[in-house]
Amino acid sequence: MKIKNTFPTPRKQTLQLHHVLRWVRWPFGAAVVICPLVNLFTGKPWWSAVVLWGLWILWTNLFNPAMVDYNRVSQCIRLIFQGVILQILIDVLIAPGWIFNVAPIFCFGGLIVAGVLFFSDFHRQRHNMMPLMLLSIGCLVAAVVGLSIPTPAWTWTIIVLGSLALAMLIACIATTGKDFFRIIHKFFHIK
Amino acid sequence: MAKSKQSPFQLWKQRLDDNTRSEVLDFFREVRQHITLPRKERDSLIADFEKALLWYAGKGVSPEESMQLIAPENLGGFYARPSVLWYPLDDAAKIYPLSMKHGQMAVFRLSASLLEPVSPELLQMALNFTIRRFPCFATTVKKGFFWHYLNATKRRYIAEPERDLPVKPLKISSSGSQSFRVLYYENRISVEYFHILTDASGGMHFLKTLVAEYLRLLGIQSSPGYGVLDINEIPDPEESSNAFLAADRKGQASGLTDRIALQMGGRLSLIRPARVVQFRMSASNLLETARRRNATISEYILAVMFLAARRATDETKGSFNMQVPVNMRKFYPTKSLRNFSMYCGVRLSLDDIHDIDGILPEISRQLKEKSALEPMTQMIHSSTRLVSSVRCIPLFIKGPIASAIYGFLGDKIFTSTLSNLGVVEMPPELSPMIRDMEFILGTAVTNRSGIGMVTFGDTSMLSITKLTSDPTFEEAFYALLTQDGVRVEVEGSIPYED
Repeated sequence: MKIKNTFPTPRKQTLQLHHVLRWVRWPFGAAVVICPLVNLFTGKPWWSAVVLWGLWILWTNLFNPAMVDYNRVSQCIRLIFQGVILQILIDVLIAPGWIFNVAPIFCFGGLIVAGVLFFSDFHRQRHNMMPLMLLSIGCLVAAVVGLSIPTPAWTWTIIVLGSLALAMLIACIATTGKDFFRIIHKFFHIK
Repeated sequence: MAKSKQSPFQLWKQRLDDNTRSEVLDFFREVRQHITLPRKERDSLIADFEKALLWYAGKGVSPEESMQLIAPENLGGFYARPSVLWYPLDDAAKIYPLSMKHGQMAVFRLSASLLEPVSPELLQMALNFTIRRFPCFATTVKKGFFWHYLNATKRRYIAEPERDLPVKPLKISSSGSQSFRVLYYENRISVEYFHILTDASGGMHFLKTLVAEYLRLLGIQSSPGYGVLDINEIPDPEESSNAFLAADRKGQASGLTDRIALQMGGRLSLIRPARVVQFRMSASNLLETARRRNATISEYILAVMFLAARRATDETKGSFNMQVPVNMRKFYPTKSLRNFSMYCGVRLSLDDIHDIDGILPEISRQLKEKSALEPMTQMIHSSTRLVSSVRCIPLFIKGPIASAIYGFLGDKIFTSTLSNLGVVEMPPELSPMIRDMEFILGTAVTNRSGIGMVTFGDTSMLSITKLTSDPTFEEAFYALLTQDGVRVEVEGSIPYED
């Protein structure tokens, strides 16, 4: 059977992500199994949880990134969220006592970066407003909860975090105007 | 020195007489009024108009005539107004973003081959004008809290040269990314769609309208109809609707799964597809051959598929199950351009597959029975019920679960797919300009091949998308057809994986 070629010769295949994934998943899988086992033998502290979460961060950001909504705002917010969880794990499982100082600074720093990424390319990024609003709401709630606990050493960080989150939320609502409810509706639709 | 820095368009403009130059300036003023996109996008769109005018000039068309052909009124308000629309996914589309993985996405291709090589400049203009008639295609896939959705995106949609593998996954992750791609190669215009947007029936409307608009820009006028939409007409909201909701959902619901089917042999290729093989056949010759055996073309091709698959496996026990998509529009007429197809499976035990005449009655019976209104409605009922039952579960929970279930089951309940679009017609003024049409299915997960078929004029094009480099299936298919008196010309791609 002679086949007449009617298709262009494809460009030289660059290393595709799914080819990389085929190989990378083995060392990752091995680490996921080996680390907790070694940790079980060595006992406390439970460092393997931190390692596993670190691997998850690497996996979801570097090797298997999101196939939908992989934009600079969503990616930044995902990293902030994962970073906070990593800090909590380190604080709870390995070296306690610093999370209340560092996490709010990390969050408001992240909020500033996300805000800059969002407003510096507003025309394209306005479709990615919801993750930024959710982050702002999350930070605002965390700040209110934080302020209700009397610990003077880290009050200023919480105040900055809360103020920034509130400002970001107001900025988001102000820039969307009457489209605000449409954005909420489409994000939370169940149709 | 200064002259060498001028663009070809500026040089052309300088050569015009004062009156025409002034008309060209007015023309571009009007073009700018129709575009309020960010500067880079706006400049690209304006450059499209410049390239088109240059193309016309090269063909000896007067500036007045060419400006009339690409009149900016055809842009409407699409590029002048910010996007506000969004569309929930239809019931069939909801699984696609949940089941996709890197390197694996439900993409299919529809193509039209013209008699002349495609002009990229005019194709881009045709796309610029056509896209506004299909608002649910001018969208980007976004993630909501409970479901994905399609968010309207105002941008310059791109027509690009075909340089990669057919039905390659689309990059839909970045802001404003397209969920379809328009490609050109020699005489062929192709559109590859992520299935989330539409099915082959809706996709065919877009391709037909794009081709009609392209031919209009070449000076061939036609009236809308035959699936060609009027680009200056206001889109009917029904075209973007979820037609599954309009279907009868009373009565019993059927199961959506089946037992595992036998797969053809051959190592799964790393590069997907491994190859595309196409059989060009005379439609009348094929119909005559099928009628000689008292079968329809789909039944006949299915019978050949079973026999070819039988030769492409070393297994001795089990059953093949061929998936046949069913266009639900024949039961529930709708204008919807979104997904509105279901599927049925024709299953035969390996022991029963010996010759065409022996299996045709059973194939015919199963196809009639399983693709009838009642089982299809039951299937719609099942899928809408399933969608409805998980609608309030957040996406971050149901996403991984759906992905795991799909990863486990995948397409294992089927051996292959035959999707026959049937006879496609174009307005009589345009038909002589079109040589043939093609329909290429995307690659599955484990199915070694999938077949898409479409007939235009007297040409039936059957496209086999391969997922293995083992050529047994298509060779057996070819041999069976030719033995039966069907004249086949074989085309296709080179093997992508050696």
